[in-house]
Amino acid sequence: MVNNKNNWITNSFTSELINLAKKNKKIILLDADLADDADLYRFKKKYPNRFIQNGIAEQDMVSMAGGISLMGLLPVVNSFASFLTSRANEQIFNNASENTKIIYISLYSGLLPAGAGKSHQSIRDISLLSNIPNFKIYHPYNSTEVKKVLSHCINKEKSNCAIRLTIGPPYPEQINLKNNYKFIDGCGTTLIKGKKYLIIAYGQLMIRQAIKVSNLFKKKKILIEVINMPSINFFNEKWVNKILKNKSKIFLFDEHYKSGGFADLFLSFVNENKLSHNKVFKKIAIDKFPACGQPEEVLKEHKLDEKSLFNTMNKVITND
Amino acid sequence: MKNKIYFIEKKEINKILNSKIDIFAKAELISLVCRLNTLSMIKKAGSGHLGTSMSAMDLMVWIKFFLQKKEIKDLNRDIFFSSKGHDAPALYSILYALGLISLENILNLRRLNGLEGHPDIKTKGVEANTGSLGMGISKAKGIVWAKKYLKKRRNVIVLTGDGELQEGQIFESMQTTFHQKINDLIVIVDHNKIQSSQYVKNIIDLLDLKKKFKSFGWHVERFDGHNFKTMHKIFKKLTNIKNKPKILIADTIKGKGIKDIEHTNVMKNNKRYEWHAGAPNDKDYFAFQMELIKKINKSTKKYLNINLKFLSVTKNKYKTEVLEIH
Repeated sequence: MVNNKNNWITNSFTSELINLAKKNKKIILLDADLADDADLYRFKKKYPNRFIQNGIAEQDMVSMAGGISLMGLLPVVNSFASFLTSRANEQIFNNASENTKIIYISLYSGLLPAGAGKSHQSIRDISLLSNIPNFKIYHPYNSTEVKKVLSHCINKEKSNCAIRLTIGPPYPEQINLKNNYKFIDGCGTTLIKGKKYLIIAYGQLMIRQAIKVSNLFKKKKILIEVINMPSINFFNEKWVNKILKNKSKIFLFDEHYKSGGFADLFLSFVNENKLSHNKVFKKIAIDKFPACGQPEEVLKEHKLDEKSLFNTMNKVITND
Repeated sequence: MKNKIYFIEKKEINKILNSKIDIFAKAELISLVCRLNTLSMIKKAGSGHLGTSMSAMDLMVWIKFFLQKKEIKDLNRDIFFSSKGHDAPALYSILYALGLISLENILNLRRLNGLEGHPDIKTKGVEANTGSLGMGISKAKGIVWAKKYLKKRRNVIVLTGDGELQEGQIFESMQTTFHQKINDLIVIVDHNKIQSSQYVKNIIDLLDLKKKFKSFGWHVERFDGHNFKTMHKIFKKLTNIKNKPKILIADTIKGKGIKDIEHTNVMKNNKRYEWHAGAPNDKDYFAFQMELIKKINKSTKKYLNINLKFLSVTKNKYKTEVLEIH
């Protein structure tokens, strides 16, 4: 099967990991038999003695990574987010308590693909990891950003990191990041300029939905700003203050269950730092077990399709 | 001596360590002294796991004093840690005897900025954060893997409980350790037959452990976990077994060394083993302490022809004295 996946986030991630591993011999990759889904066997091919196949034993894999990191190496640990962050959560907590650094690949994060159903769709992983001290969570938007985020995690970040990876091709509606795009931890980038209203979203699916709904509003002469925010649980106060300035209504798109996801973390940050200034914040997240089905029907089921989003947002906007 | 909590200070322990007596007698003396310090540490803290500390003590003493090198700094270092972790007071008594942690430390077990109830790497000589059961073999496997990758010496031993073997992760790690050929790893099961307050076999029976472990591809040995001469022989034998990871079932007695808390005695007349967690009350403590002091006096007289001085700690007053109790 010839299937060019070069522009997929997952493939871009793996290429960058191979690239970074060339210089950094401390990088060791561990996998719980899900390497195919991010094409991680390319890493194994390049560095066979730095790839550990641990089988379908996530808890064992995570603790093994803990032992490896205690010896000063840098493990990168792969499985589906729904298995890795929940089944091995206590092992992740234990590792974090040893003040070592491990990078967790939260592969297959979020709602889509939805064919496999709720055992595989990961909508709890942000809440499961954000309650661990010494931990940062990222969800890169596209194949460019994923490289920057990975490089940040490997070269700059001191905390443990989880990188949420969406599986699937980029959408045609995607707005590319600028060529000179620089990732700054805790900050996002503006994709569409707007006036009083703002959507903050992350990941290729939610950003596509944000772009689509923003285009619908544009037809009604309402300009909605869209910001891509890859830092999920860590926010730069100055930047947040700046993007909220002159905005009256802010929509937080969360590819996560409504409790404990990005939106909750962001709102709590805004509240703690007294940045809300009577602005209206609306959380748009998943409010039940994730549905199984074709992408468009599942989005509709969760009221995340462009029409439902338009209606939800329009109610908030017309309430002025 | 009534109502006093006694410890034995490092400078007194050095008299044992620096003596020229044979290693088995030395191991016996160190174990006795560490048992007293463990008992007193738990009494002073007001809580802690006495039974498991005593069952693991002889194994830990042998590993830390006679099997592994004492250097703790570079990546070539020998590594031992306990996966069950609640035997931390025993480990602390040994780290104190080795000179890695201070008297101040062991007097502050389970206190803020003191020694944690379960091991934490912020304590000098502690290699891994443990206490949540089942993670140890996996972690030790990672340590061995990394040492091999870095071309470092690989003397790595991890201790587990027997109740701990009910955790699923144990069997994940036994499969992967074998498959990944992490053959330098040595696992020891402190098989004291009691988990919390009851027999392991009555909670969830482990059945034939030897057969079970063998079926996972491991080299298995079974021996008396309180017999230093046997330990010496077994570990010597293991140096020749290079093609398999090794698991040793050490038959031990929960509460070993204090007659009234040894499970083999306790369970004769009771349905429950009462010395799993928590400090003994004053009456029991002074009786246990007396038993250990007598044993220490007898053995130091026998092997070294000296009397060790005991340190009493009451409030913030320290006093050292020879106790003429035989």
